[in-house]
Amino acid sequence: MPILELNNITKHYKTVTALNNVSFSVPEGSVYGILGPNGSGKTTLLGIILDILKPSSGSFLLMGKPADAEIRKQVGTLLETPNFYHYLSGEKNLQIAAYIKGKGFNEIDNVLQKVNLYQRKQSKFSSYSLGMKQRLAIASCLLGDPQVLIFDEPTNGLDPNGIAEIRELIKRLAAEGKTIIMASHLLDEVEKVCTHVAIIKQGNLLTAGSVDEVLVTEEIIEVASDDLNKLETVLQQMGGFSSLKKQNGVLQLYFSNGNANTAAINQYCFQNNIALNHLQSKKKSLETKFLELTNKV
Amino acid sequence: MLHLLKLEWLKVKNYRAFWIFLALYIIGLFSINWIAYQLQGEIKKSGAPVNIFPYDFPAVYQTIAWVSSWLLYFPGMLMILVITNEYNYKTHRQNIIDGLTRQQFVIAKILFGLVIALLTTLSCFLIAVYFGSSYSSSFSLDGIAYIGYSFIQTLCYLFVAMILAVFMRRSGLAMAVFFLYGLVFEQLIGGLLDFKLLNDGTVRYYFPLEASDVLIPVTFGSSIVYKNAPGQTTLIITCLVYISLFVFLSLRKFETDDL
Repeated sequence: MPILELNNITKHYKTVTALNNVSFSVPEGSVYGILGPNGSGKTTLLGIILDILKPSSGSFLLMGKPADAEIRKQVGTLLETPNFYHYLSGEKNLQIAAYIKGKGFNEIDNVLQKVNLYQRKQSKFSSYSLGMKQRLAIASCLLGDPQVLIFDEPTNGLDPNGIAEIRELIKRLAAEGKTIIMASHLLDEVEKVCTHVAIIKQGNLLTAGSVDEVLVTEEIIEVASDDLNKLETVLQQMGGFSSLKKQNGVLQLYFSNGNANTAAINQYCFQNNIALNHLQSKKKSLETKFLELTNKV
Repeated sequence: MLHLLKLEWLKVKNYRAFWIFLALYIIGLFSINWIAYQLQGEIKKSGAPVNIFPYDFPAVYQTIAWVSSWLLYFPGMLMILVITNEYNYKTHRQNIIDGLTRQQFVIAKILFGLVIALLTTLSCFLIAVYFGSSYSSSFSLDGIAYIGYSFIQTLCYLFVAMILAVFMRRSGLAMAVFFLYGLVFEQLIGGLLDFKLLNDGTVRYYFPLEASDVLIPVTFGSSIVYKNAPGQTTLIITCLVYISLFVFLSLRKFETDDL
């Protein structure tokens, strides 16, 4: 059973269409990245799932049922910004969240420790730094040990250490078998933790599926030698690559995924009396892939 | 019900500004009556031929209710404050995300309003008993209905405040509209309708705040101030209709809108 199933979700605001017939489903146990540039509709999509926004048309199932308040209690959510009562302490704010979710207050210390906020639990929310606010929001998500977590830009405002910690936390949660739905414009973040990805641009779903499928990339091997022309001739004889480009004094060989073999190239060139002075294997970065995909439309 | 009230309690329990505001309001409620009470003391001492003393039983209930009505903008502001705070901090979203239904969110605020109204009414009753008993030795419950009217009036003010807060979302704007409407525009619109358009009509008595104001006329001379005013039953029904309407519209707005 998919954890989340979206069927043709459309959302119009007064002048713009924020989401246009978006459908995909999130399998149980996956870390599902929703990727898209700023303003692409990621938060709108999550807002609809959480009953903050009403879809113009379309429907969805959360844990196999039309979403209601009871199901929302079983999902840990951080949407857009940490939303807390400024005049209350971190601890008191979590009491309110726990109370609404119908969980006891005894877990609060525990989740605060998980995000390294325990020492400051008595301080007012308004005195927290942006990173601390974000940590409190993540702590709130963890209340009641939910099986499904929804994170919207979870590393917003965190310093490099904080980002690494959150990344570790997400990996740990995923390892425990929890399903994580995460919206982000940080590709690096998605690449490092996600198993699945959906890419949205201007409200349109460009592609969705497992990271391996969606981000099938070509492998590139760069080679160079003193005589590039001779090298090119030799390589053409060798074959096996899909294309060859000359760039900045090196030759780039494009291979379909899994077919690149640097050792074989090195050996072949050597046998043909060419000594390579440059040999490097590269993967096309997710960033390049992302830009390619989002610029197509 | 109790569950939602406890949620509101968690929200205001450690909210210092709220408690200071509430304390000042109740002190103000007592003080404004104390000033008028001193005035009555002076008149009594002078031995002037007055036959109704507003701070003696049984008139005291009506007097306190009437005097208190002037301060009802303050619990109204409190209502606006706690609702617009939620929009301000986006906690109205977070509450829903965490598992409250949209309906529960509004009902919690309605219950909060009821509690504030009960608190105001109880304060009025205690103040009335205190001043009433200070001069006269005999205790009386005659005229206590005015304390009940005061409750209805408080609800009218609180739910006007609520609907303004729900529709405007910003505290400053909602408070400005609340004061301007209550103090100026309701009178202006009612007056224009009655005296310019209808030539001495009584439409002005059917406005939400005015209807509840007329319910508790000044202790003496009401027939001059509120000429041709509808009867009490009509006024009470008018108030209840408005209260229900404001509750209904607030619920509908919050249940159907994007938050």
